[in-house]
Amino acid sequence: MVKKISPKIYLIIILALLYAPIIFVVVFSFSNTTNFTFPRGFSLEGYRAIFTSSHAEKLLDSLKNTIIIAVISSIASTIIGSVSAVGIFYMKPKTKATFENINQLPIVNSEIVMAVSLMLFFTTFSFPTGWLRIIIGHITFCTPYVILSVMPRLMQMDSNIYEAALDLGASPVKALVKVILPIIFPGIISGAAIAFTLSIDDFIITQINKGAATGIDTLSTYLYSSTRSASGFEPFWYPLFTIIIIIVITIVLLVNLNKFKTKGKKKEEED
Amino acid sequence: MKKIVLATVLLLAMTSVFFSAYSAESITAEAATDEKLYIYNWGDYIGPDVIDNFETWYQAETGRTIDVVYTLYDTNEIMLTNLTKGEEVLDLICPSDYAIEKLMKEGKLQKINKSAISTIGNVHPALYTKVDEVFTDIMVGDSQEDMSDYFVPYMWGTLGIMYNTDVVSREVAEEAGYGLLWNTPEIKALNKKILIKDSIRDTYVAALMYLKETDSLPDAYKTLSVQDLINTVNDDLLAAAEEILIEQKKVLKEYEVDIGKGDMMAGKAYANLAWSGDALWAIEEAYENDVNLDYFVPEVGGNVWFDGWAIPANAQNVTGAHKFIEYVCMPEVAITNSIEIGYTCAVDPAILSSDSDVIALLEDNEYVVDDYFNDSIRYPDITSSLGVMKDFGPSQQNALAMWERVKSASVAGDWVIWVVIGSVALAAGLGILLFFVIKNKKGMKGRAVLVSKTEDEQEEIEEEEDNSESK
Amino acid sequence: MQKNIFLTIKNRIKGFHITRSVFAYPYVLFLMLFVIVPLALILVNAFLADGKISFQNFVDLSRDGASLKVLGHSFLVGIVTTALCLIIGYPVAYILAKMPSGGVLVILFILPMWVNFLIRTLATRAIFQAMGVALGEGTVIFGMVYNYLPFMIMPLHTTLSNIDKSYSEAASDLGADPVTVFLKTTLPLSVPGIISGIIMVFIPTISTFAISQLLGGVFLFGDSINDKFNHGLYGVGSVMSLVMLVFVLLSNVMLKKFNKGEAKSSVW
Repeated sequence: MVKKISPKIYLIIILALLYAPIIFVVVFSFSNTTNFTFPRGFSLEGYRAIFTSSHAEKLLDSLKNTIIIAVISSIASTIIGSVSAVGIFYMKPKTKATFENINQLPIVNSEIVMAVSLMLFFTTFSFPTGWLRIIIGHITFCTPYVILSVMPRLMQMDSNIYEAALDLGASPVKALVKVILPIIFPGIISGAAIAFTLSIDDFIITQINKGAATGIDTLSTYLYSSTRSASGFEPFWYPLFTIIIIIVITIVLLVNLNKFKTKGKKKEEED
Repeated sequence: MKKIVLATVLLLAMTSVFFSAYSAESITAEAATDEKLYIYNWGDYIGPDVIDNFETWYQAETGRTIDVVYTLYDTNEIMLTNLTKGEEVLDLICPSDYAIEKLMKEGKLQKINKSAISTIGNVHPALYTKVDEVFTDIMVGDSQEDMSDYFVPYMWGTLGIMYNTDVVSREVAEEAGYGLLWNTPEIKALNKKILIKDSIRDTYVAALMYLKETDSLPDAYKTLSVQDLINTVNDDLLAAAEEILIEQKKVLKEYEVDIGKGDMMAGKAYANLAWSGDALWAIEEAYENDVNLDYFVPEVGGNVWFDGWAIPANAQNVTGAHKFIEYVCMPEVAITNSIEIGYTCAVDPAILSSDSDVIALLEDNEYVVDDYFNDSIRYPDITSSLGVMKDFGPSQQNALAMWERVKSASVAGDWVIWVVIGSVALAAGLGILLFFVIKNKKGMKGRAVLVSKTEDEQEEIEEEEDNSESK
Repeated sequence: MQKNIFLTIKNRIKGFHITRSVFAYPYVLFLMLFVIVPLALILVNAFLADGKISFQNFVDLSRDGASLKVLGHSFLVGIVTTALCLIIGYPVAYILAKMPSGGVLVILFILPMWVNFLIRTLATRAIFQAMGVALGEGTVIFGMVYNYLPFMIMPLHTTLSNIDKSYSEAASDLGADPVTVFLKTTLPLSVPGIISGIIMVFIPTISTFAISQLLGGVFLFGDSINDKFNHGLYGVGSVMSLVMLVFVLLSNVMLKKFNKGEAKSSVW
């Protein structure tokens, strides 16, 4: 009995630790407190402060920026990533390996090095400050994840299908669209979701590349600068992030829905 | 043919993405205004509504709409770096005295057209006098220039010590002087509740003044005036300062720039190296929390500073910039800023105290007008024991390096770090050695400590074969 | 004329496979431009001091005790964090791998990763302050472990769940007790996952930026690099970034060698 329960207990303890801060954010979003004192009762004041606070304009502005950047970056990186994944898949093994390695670089490399190298690059070649730099930066680190998301699908795919389609008279484009695309579609969707979430959460790359005087802030950079100023921790942060947390969790769960389904099926098969 | 089409389509797709990214700025812009004004200023350094009010005033004055893009920086150093990079579009910056000197020397500023600022006469003349007295030899290109032509003072004040009077009595504090930040009175409650600025210039002053107080300065520097002392940055002084700054870490809570005043007024810290403006703000705010604070500049001397508006040489809206300076030099606006942020504005107190709008605003905010203008924290005597910071020049690098050494110094002792580096190097070396050893073993015997799946399978098969054979 | 050129090119290319790889070319260009060139710039800048090619930056760095101390300190934090993540995370991954619904539950463990790390760190700090725990080295390490634990659990779980159950079954059939089974079969087979996890935790930990400052005012390597670049000291900053890069590349190479033949784990 003990043997069976203790592993579960261990899991639960670790889970509790992992989720403690997140739960904290959610719980305190309903409290009427700006600093880290204990809540003075349930209230929706924080949620209203998102719109009524004196800093609301700045907050909503940075929210808007975050979403715009995330949408553009995720669409771009999904398109580029999915198409490139197909291309990389069909490369000769040697070139394929090389490019897979280079593709891994933004993922395994430390974020700060990626961020400063980009900044050096932009400065040296006088890229316009602001939106362009931020979006390029986001696309750079999102696309590898899209590729990593699509590739497994391609590997599972029967490579003969494409040839079969061509043999049957389809043009390369048609074969691509009608045959390969549907198969990798789930990978594309999950890749897009990853790209979107990564872009929304990004801090380092945006912070270093947004330019000091362009006035562009995303949620993360605005949050960071507010920790360094004396105006204190605004009441709207926890509520705002509670909303975002819920959205992100939903996206992740939805994207992994098929995993739940297949697990269910497997269980049925095992029974 | 299809290849070309495909490649072109993809190229077009990428270009369109970049194009949309580039034009995203216009997508997100507000209803287009006639003009833009890019202001780069310190954090918490303007009243919350002043910018909006300026935009309204500007439209009334000139008939044109203006959009102010207002961004913040923490320290002069960061502002200087960003300005030097040359990528930013900026119309107005608010550097401190020594930063203005540096920028002037580098030719990065343009002269202020004082005739375009109707309210220029409101500025306290004593500030201009003091500045020209101290900065006597600024060369911009070939000609010698006066700093007073290149900036309009905004706020000024002193650097000093803010402390909690419930923890440290006034006598003890004034006796200890800068030593309070090192807890020389050895008040137990003060340990780990001391804050100091994450800004090398300010901490350098504190360190040197502390050394001067305790007569621990290297001999050659004992007779220097405060003005000269705080601007001397050579190896001996840097080393001496570094030593005691590292000492200080034992009693320090943290390094801060903006959050210190909040911590002090909330009673989370008890002593802080503070600017007079922050202190004034904190003392008032603390009152509401039942926390009692006070501020003083130790007898041994200290620093008096000025921040002022300067216009970068490549500003894109010079007229707008001048208009903004005109706006903030108006008595009501200046006093509003002062009330909101606590700092002493550069407008002549004589003019302020005789302006009825100002008096009304002060009374609305529950100030006693006479006390307000006679407060020695707010309007200190600028004596010779108060020095003005000047540009460190090329030695700035050494100072920054020293500061980083201080910040990263561990109180525990450096030997730990060297042990770690040594062991990591050792481990890495061992790892690589092991790796090659294993690699060779793998090739020879087909058996290795680290097995891949297929090799394990082979073993299993061999084992089973062995078993079946032996049976 | 053009058609002829294309025919000759096409004739030179054997099979359909290579024509499809053209899909990747725009991205290849993109990678070159925005990943390779920037990193090359770091390399260049590391050797650039006052406009001249020199080793001055390296000299400055090694003589400047501060940066080396920061590096050492970051290593210390990194090693401790990685070790803790391994110790805490391995059992989690093991238990999950054994559970039938483990593949699903692991998602729960990965989920926190997708929440903005700034707000998580700030919340952690708030919890510490509410509990009255003083911020310092301990809280920094706790914060790091908390942040990077999912990074360790993920590859470990993938590897552990891919291990063929028949190995451990065979071992116990042959008479080994559970501990020996684990030590001699499961553990060695999970090494690729362990290495993968170690790398995924160690690298970000030593180059982390902001977490250390928020949770304890500790100044680590990532903060230092950021500081250098903020103050325009590109030379020294580039050298430090180079150090990071070398580490990353080294560990990547090691990972590839140990992982020969293993299917690349997906991001989930």
